[in-house]
Amino acid sequence: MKKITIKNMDGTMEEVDLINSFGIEDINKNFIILSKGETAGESMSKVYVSEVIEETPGVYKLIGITDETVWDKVKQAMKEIVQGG
Amino acid sequence: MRNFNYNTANQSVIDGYRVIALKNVDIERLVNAANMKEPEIVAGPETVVEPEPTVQNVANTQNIPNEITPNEVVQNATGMAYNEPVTPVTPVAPEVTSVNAGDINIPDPVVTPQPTVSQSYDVPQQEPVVNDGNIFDAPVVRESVEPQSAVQQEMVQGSIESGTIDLDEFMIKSQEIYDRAKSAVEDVLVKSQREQMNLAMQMMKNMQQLKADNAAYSNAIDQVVNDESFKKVA
Repeated sequence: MKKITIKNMDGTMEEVDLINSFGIEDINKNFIILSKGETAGESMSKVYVSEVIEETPGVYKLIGITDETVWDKVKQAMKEIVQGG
Repeated sequence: MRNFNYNTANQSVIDGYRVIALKNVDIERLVNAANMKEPEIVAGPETVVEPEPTVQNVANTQNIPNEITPNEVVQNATGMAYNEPVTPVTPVAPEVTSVNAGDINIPDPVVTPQPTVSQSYDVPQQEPVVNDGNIFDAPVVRESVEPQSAVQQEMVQGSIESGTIDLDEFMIKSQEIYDRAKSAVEDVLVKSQREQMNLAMQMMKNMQQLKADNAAYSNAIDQVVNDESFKKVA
């Protein structure tokens, strides 16, 4: 699993696991799934899903997904990836 | 969905996210899917790959046909033929140029007339058999039959005993049964008529007797009324 370093909102740097990254064609947006290795119950783990926006070349901003329609599409895309689509 | 590979060398500032819980097995699948993705092509100078020249006639320029037909003989360097196909020799009869009349008496072939086959056949048209739901025209099997009359009882017994019914015998039996039934009905009717007649006669006799009794009674009353002794007493 690849590791990336992100800058938290409080300014601290943190190394996290890059689970996956994908784009959704019809809304022209890119997304990233990260993990900090936190468990969430039996056989489950906590993951972080953000939209990726390139602010300046080589500098990205990971923002939250507030639009439920977009979030539905993200979940659908994740399902397709998991199912091998 | 489109391909997007996040470059691990990027600098990322996290400003928001959604936290969800996923099964570890699904996370593994997500990771595996990411590892299987082809690396994203970074924009750069295009690399033109020159196609390799096709190697033709490396050692010696010879016109070697791609396909060898079966009748073709391919020779090697020494001129010896190999893979030579064996050509079967078919004996050919000498050509007859002329035939003298009378030398050979060949009888004319006897042609046997072939029987004429008619193209059409007279197939008798069969009227469609309409039965009550029994599409296979099979005999109706009754599981239990309770005879209600002598005629029906005899018919059922006949069918059970013989299995197949001779039509003539069946008709004769039916006629006999019919005659017996008719005779029985007529007997009942005659007897009934006779009894009714007897009853009517008896009623007439009774009426006459009653009438006679009334007359006698009336006379007796008259005699009593006209009796002198009775008048005296009154």
